[in-house]
Amino acid sequence: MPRLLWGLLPLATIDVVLFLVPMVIMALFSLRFSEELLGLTGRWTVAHYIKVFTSEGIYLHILVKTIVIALIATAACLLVGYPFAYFIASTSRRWQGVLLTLVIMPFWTSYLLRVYAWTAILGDRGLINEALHFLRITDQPLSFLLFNVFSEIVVFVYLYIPYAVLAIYASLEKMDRSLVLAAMDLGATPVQAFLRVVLPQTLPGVYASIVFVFIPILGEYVTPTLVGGMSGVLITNLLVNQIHALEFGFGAAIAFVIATFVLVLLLGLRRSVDLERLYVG
Amino acid sequence: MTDRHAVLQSLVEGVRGGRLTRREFFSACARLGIGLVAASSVLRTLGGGTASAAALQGPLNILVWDDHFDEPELKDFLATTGVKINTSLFDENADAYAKTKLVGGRQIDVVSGDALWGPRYHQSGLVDPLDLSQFESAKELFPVFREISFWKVGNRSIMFPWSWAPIIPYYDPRYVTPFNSYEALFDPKYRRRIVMEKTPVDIMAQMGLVTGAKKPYEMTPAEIKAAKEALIRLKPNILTFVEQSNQFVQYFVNGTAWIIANAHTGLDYRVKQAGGPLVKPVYPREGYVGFLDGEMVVKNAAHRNAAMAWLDHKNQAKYVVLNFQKQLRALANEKAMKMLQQDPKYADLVHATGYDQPDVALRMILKGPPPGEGLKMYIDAFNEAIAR
Amino acid sequence: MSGEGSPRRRRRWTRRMPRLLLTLYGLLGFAFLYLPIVVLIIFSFNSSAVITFPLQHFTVSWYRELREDFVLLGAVRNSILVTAVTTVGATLVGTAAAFPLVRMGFRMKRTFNLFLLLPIVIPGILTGIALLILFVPVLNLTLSLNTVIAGQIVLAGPFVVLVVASRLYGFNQQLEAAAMDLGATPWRTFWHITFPLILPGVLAGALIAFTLTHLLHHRPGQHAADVHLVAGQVRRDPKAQRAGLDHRRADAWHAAHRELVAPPARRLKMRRAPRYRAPAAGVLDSLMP
Repeated sequence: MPRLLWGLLPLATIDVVLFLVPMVIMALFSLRFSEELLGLTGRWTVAHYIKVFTSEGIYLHILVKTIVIALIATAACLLVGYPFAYFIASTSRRWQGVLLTLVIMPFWTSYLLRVYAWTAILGDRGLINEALHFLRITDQPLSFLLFNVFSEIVVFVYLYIPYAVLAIYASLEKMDRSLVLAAMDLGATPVQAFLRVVLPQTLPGVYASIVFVFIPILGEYVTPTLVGGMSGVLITNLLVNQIHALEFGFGAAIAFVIATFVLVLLLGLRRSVDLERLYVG
Repeated sequence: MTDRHAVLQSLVEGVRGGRLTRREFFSACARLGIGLVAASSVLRTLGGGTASAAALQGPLNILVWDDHFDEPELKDFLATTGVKINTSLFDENADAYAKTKLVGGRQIDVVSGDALWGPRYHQSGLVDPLDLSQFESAKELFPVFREISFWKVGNRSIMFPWSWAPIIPYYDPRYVTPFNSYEALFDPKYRRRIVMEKTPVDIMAQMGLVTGAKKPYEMTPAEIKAAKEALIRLKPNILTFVEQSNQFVQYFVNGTAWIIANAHTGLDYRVKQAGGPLVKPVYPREGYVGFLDGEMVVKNAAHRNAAMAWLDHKNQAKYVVLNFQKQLRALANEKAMKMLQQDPKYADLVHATGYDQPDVALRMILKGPPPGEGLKMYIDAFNEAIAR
Repeated sequence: MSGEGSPRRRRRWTRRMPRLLLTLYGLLGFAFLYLPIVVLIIFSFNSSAVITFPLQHFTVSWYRELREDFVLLGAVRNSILVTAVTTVGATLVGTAAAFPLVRMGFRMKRTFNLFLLLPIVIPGILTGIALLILFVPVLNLTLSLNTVIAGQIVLAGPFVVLVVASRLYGFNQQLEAAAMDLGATPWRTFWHITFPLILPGVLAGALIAFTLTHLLHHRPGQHAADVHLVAGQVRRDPKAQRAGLDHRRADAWHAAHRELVAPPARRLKMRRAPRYRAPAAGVLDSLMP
């Protein structure tokens, strides 16, 4: 049925014209010294790439830091999200629909406002500190709750956990439940049954959530500014500053270095890249 | 339109007859979608144009800060000239500059900018200087704003001046001892108590003032390095940068911030209004930066006449008054200032914001892009400081 | 849950599972997801202009203003248009692409899968600039909602593919074969067999595309109404006096309003800047006509 292949055409065309071509243009920029903004004049150079790796090492340092923070946030999303997805999958069919809608609904309100709300929760005069004060547990506000890497990660988990829950739910729902019953009948403890039967079957969902949580966090720069304080600066913050200085070539170089790192990581997670494996397990 | 009909027809027939392949179905759907969008944009344009019987060509495309216009003048302009205005907003001068450079007069007629960005636009051949004497509403300006030296090209001005404000520190006297120098910001007792708006170039310029740079927006590499060291020294005291200055009010009101290091004048009033403490402004002895902005007409603007008419229209005192009442910062229109002085509710504010003292505007160190490689060096230094 | 299991087994399984704990956990999860929303709703009824405790007195004034804003902002319509067209477009191209990616073995398939993910990897602000360069200096197009939509389909498409593909993998192709054997045309087979079976996947894909677009589209100027809907933050206040407030009060109220969404300090970015979500928000910023 080669006719099926035509189905790829629209998406492939869109991706090539609206993504690949622009990226090639950006790649050219990243390899040129331009005297004046956006001019493709000047000479070929790898100076932008060298700058990414030099500059007192800040770009590499922050890139590594960003990856570590994204990994922690992704792990937290999985740890918190898995049981949550399990809970949803264990309810009746009718409830599943309702609960899934409830999971995705917060997404439909402003990203910005939801992040702001966290400053009203974690801040010195925020919900938590006011409550602790009211209950006379503390007399000074806990100021380590906001404007640091901790609050940044909390907000990332909050923002991205629905992706993880949806992906894990999808694979839990497809899981063959009778295998679990069989394992239990054969004397497996719940923990054993989970580790040896449930988890392996849902790994595709876990991989999918890694892709959809980890990658977007690498590109975050609004949340770090709003709740990350001075210690929460991430790589895209640096990139955005460069773009605002009209350094498009250098900005592109940073982006391509990030993209290379991510692709290497993804290839490490080979299965996640392979759709087939992703959904068949 | 006929095309769209044909597509729809064929789609319906195809489905009925069961002849359509998946591919045809999808391609038809895609064409339909694109057609719908195209049709809707055509309709929108028509909708704007039908009212216009006047001579002016529209619609007018303006790339603008959102405090440079408001609903009443847009409505009135449409009513009197029939020209619809498409507004696109931006926040960084550099963004608007890049977009203007890429898109040009065909799609942008008017662009806003800060003081020294004007000459930059002009040097890059992006804008046409204006003969201010052609505008009725320019007669309402303070004379000093008609003669801004760095905007002069012959007897024309690169910008039509709009508003200005100093960017200065404010402090909460409940926690902070009065000060008159930036040095106070570095006091260890203010650890994690300072909040700043994230404006990299201006923050570097302020740090330049701290370290004694001669021209904060044209620092030498050595001065940039010193400014960077100062920022690194200040970092422990900075609680956070904010993306939008309305958070300043929030952090003063709830006592999170003791000092805001770079606010526009009028913050004291706004904090009070929001139920916060009476915070105090500081005009540091090292000097202070500030903005003075305006509008430029893009070179080869497709709707040049409408652009000129719009500038004349929106700079009228009656609209400037409304703008002041909403934004509470000084503007360039003198007539509006006099009207506001008559209003007991606003007379004090006119003085507090410096609206009645236009010479203050000329004493500020005006915002602008560091020339040449400067901008790049400022940002590199800023990045190196915050990434440390 | 797919396996129904016999009642007895089910009961045993339930007994062993700490069912209650799981439910409790689920409730905690929802509390986490909705805590910020609840906080925003509380503040939307709070008279103070800033989102900070302690609460001041109760008010519905923010909501009263909402109607006004809905009317004033034609942007809302643009927003709906962009979201709708992007959702439909991304769902169509994504679904179409999912079939060959699942059912066919072809060379470069792996590469293509990887390629699909790339737009998510590149920060949105850069994609935006690149598209701006492509559209204007290179292709000489006029910026419009169409260019915005085009930019968004690139990002939403891959998500649809992934979701629809997951459904297709579990699909029993023998059902299609049976229909064809019984004389159904390919189209009829698709419409009566394939489509109903993959419909949940397609709908889920559309939902994700919608969510994503909607999310990316939270440019303040564009989607102000929705922003207000939650926090009750309103931009304009022409109704202050009409609402029966005395003069002084109206003034304070004025100021409060301004503070929220259009504070005097001009670099206010609520309605303007921050890119709502990293990937692709930049696309919008640059492509808006």
